[in-house]
Amino acid sequence: MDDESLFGADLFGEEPDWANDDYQSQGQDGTEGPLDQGAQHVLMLLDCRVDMFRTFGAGNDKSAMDNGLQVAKALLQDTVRTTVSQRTGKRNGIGIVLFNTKRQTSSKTAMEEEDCDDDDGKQNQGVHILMPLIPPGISHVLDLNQCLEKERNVQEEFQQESQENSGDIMAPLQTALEVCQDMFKKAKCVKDAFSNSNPVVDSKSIWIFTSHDNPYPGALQQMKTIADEAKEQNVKIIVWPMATGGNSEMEDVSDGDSPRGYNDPSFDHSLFYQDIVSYAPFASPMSTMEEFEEALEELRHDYKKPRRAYYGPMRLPDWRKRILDEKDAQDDEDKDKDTAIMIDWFKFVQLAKKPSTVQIDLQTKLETIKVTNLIDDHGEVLATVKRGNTFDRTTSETMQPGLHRIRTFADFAGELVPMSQSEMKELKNAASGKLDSSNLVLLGFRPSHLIPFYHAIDSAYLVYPQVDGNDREAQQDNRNAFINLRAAMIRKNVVAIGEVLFRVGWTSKLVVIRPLHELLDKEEGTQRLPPGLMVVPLPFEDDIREPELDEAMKELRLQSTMAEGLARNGANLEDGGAAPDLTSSLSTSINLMENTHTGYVASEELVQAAMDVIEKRTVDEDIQLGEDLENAALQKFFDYIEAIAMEDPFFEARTEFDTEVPDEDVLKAAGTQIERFKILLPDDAEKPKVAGRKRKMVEDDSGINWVELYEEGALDSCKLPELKKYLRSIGEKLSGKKSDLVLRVQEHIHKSQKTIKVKREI
Amino acid sequence: MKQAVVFVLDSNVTMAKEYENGSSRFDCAKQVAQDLICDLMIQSKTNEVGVIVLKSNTTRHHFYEPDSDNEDTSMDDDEEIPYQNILEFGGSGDAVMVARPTPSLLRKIDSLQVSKESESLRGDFCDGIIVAADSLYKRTNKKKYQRRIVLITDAEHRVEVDGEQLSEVLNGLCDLECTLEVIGLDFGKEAKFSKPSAGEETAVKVEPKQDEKEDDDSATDAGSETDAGEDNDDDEDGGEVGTALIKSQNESLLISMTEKTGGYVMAAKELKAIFATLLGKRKSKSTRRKVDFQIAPGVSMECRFSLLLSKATLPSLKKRVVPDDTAYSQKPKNEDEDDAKKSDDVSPEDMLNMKRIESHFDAENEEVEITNRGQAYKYGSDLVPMSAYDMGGLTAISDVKLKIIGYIPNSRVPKAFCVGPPYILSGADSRKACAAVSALARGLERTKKVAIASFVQMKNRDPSLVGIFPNVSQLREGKSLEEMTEEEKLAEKAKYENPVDLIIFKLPYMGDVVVPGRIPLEEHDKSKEKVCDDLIDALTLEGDQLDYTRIANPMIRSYWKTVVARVKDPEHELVMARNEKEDEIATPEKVLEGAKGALDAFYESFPLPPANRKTAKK
Repeated sequence: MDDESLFGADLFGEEPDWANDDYQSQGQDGTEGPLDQGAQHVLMLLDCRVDMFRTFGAGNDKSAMDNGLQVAKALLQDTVRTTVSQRTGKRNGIGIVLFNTKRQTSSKTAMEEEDCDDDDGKQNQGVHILMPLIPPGISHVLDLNQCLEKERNVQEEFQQESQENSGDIMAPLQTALEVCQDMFKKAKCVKDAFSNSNPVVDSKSIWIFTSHDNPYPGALQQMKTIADEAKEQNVKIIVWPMATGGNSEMEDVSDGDSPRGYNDPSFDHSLFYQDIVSYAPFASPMSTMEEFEEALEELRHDYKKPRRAYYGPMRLPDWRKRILDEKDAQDDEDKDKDTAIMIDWFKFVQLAKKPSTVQIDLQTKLETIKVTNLIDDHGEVLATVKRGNTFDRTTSETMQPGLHRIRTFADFAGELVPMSQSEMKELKNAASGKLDSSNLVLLGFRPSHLIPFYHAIDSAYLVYPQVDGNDREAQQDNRNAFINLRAAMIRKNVVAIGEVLFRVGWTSKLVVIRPLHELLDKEEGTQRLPPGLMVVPLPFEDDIREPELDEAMKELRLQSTMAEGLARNGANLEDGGAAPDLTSSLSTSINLMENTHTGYVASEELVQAAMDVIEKRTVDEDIQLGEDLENAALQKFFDYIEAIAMEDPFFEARTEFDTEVPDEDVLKAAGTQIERFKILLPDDAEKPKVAGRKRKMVEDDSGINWVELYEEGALDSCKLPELKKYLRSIGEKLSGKKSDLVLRVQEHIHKSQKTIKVKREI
Repeated sequence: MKQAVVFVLDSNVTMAKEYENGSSRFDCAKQVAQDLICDLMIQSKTNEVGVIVLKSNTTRHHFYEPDSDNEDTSMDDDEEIPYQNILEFGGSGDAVMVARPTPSLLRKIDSLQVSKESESLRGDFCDGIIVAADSLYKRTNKKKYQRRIVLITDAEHRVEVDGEQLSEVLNGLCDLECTLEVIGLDFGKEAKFSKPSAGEETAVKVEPKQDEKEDDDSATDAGSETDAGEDNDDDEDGGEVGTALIKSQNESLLISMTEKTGGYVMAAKELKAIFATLLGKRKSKSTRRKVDFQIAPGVSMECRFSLLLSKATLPSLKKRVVPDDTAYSQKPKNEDEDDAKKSDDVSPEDMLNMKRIESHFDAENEEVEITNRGQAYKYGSDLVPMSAYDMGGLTAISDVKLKIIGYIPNSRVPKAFCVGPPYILSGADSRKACAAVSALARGLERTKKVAIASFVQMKNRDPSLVGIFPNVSQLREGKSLEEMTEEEKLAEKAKYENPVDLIIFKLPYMGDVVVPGRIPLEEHDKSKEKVCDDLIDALTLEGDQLDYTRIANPMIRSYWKTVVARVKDPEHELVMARNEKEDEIATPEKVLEGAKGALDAFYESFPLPPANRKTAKK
């Protein structure tokens, strides 16, 4: 535990939210929606009409309801995995509500009992909360699994009875929407934007899974009112058209108002839903899991929208002077000198990580609370730090006076030099140029080629003009300055050097700011990279490592030195009036290359062979970073964890990933080229074997008659030090067990006896 | 590799000469030595240092250690004492050999004084170098060390050169691969040699300073004898001329010596200039690690990878506990008062250590014993308990390897997706690996492709997705080949189209790209092009202005500066590397002044919103 965690740092890291910039509104009216911050909640409404439970037939025993539950499961798993791997979105809630259910349902399961004390009334109106709006965990996935595996019969419990449909006072969907509103209001995971001093706006969505495109024509107006109310509350309503199983034998359970049959492949949004939904991303009914996964992927942009990482001003280099001027200014006209281009920061990449383990009490299976006692040499407890306690330093010290006794020192070659925490803070503040808020300060420009791309010590950020605030004119001014400055940077082929402080209390960094061009997917026309500025953290001098020169680099340097020498000689010849002889200089160059070529730098032939391999193994052009190339290890990890959680005895790890290409496939595609490359590779000269350390021979003073003992087969009776003495006297190894040593002595005596015998014979 | 460095400090009377700021040449020499020693201490605990003082009133070195009661050199024994007036110390200051430095060594250097009337003393720089060379030989011969002798002198004393002996010593230094670095205070000449010539003829780059008068012998042979004092007159003018002559000849001698051993002679006028030059020499070498580079099935070889960049960090602070509460409780409690300054009466050595003992409790505040504890993964809002057997199934078993998955056009790998810090991959000393790596680097460069690979950086860890790029100089990025003249193209081709090693960056796996869609930016205002262009022109940095590769991390620099200052004076106030007078991370004042008009025009053309200093935060 470091010192910061002692005095108030939040041990759980950042608030696990992300922002949502209104994805769908982009491009529709040419403006961007406000950048919401907060969690993303989804309530899934599943229609329980009879046709939703009809199986597709022809070997497919799934129904539209199964598909809906499958989507719910996928969403749950995805939400959980994202929460775990990206360490964000811990507050994201998911709930499942059934509508058009039969009037009387069976008793609630444990899952349903949480948080839904007041839905009894609603149950009678054809609505049932299957899963309350809460951040999902493995138990929810398990519960859904039960439904999918038919261990719990959803159809039996909830399928609408056809006769109940007529004479509704209130359409069940209408009730369901009201229930949803209520759930959003009451769920603990939803943050009320107005109850907090730093308001965050959670994004709320209702997804309606239905097969019916005109369910309650008579109730359209009431429904519209409720939907509008929901939309006002920032709730997005989307409808998922579901294809249902075709069964001609079954009676059409349509209420008669619908102009369409249930098996109609089209879904006409204009009949009913266009006035209800926020937008309609899916035109036709879906039936296969591929379709649903694709749809989920599409909505993922919506519900998994990344938040901006930071926001703040981008200042020009004279900002400090301007603030001073502002302070000095007498009249009000000059007051507004501290101006800047306001920007939003976004991360491009967030590498997913495996979560770390937590300690649990094996009996209760609950996480334990870690308590750290700080103790001095005499065993006296100075302070107790409980995980999750985030007191500031003063409070901690008041509550635990023992903390006053702790001093901190810098260790300099074993000598302790006083250095307190507050002094460290002071140093940090001074090292960050005493910036008092998050800031990007533009310091100057340089030709872009002078900053190598590999001088990137961390991941890059996207910087984009801020879209906060209601003053549209001010926003446009801000945007204009940004756009024009960026355009000039492109025009002049420069990058900017800047200093950035992300958060007060951190240290500032040097960054390079590069103009970023919008990158579109040629085929789909979708945006791969947005336009803006790219900010890359630069290293300080201390951060740059000098790689050791390898042999190839040494060879290259030798060649270039010699080539320069040759060029100089050539120039001298020219000065002397002699006509340059191209042929001779060419042959000299060839000679030079041959003389300096030691085989460390690839021959032209080898480079060609490498290019052939590269060409043959170039993967599909459609491959997109971030959308393809699966993280096999992480995927396997989650599958494994899920299998353990679900106690799945038949768990089989997935083996096919686009990042794990089987050797056979590679050889099939480029076997010949690879073989040629391999043949052309030079061999390494065998390294001379390093001679083993010569053991110093020490005379054996044990006085033992070894030959006698050998002949008697009594070497075992010797003690270890005695055996070692003999081995030392013949320069043999001393390592190993006693039996090894005995064997070694035996072998030596055997050999020497044999030699003596041979000599005698001769 | 660890370093062994001997600092040879000249304490001749001429070193007392003061600069404009009031500090003397000797102060400057001490400062340089202390700072360099601190650097060595900070870089690695295993670095070793020796210090030799020339023209000292005391004679004490590894050839001659007088008894403690007979420490002062008696002039009667002149003949028997070797290398008189040479003082040698190392380690904590008591040892007479190269050893690991301690803070007391710095204090000892601090206490050194210029010798009075040192003209009569012996112990010139040649003697110093001989003693230093022998000291290094004795300590480091046949061991892995990077050896250096750093001589800090004004070279204004007469030098007696025993040509034969000196030549022998220089050859010895060459054998030891020890460089000689001379920081010449107020020198007229300077030179730099990247490698020792060791007797062979090499092109010597001697750069005479502007005000230097033409010297007939710019470099004196090491073997010849220099008797600089021969024409020395006693009158004042003559003295100055004589000293100038001595200095000039000594400088030449030193240059020829460094030529033999490799190293440099730096002509330094003041402290700042010395550090400006020495800066950038502190880049530490990157540790190379082995990796099995699998280019294709059946084509794999052992290569080396090393970090190109790595964030330097500060060591963590050590905690100690004041023995009882009297030390602080008697003092009035003042929240602003600093803890470190509260316990002046107790030295850190007398304080107690602090231990941390962890325990775990359940919700009812009952302690959960270790036998009742297990591990679990957080899976959404639930926990998945994991038995030891379950955990076993998660262990990835893999050696360190880099396996190419395939190749994609580099246009599909936006630089924005490359996650630093980057690694460099090279073939090290294997011919096969070097050839394969360079073939691949050139192949990638010519085909404009990037290799996508999975990279297991540490044994038994999960692989990362990486992009392998040819290590081409980015000079090309500024200008495309099409824009270049034929000549430029050829030059570029020769230099940069032939990469021999590869650069590795982490790339995002599926789902790791989080950049949001943003609407395209509108067309810029053509009428305002000039304002922006002028701003860029005015704020364009030149040369080494704001060169980040030469700016040290100000936090780390301030920390060490403070620590070193406090070694000498525990009450020393904080030393800020970045302050109002000196700030490396700022637009140079000159540039800023020149850009005033352009900046004002920009503000005029583009009304900007207020910066909201107080509210702008995450």
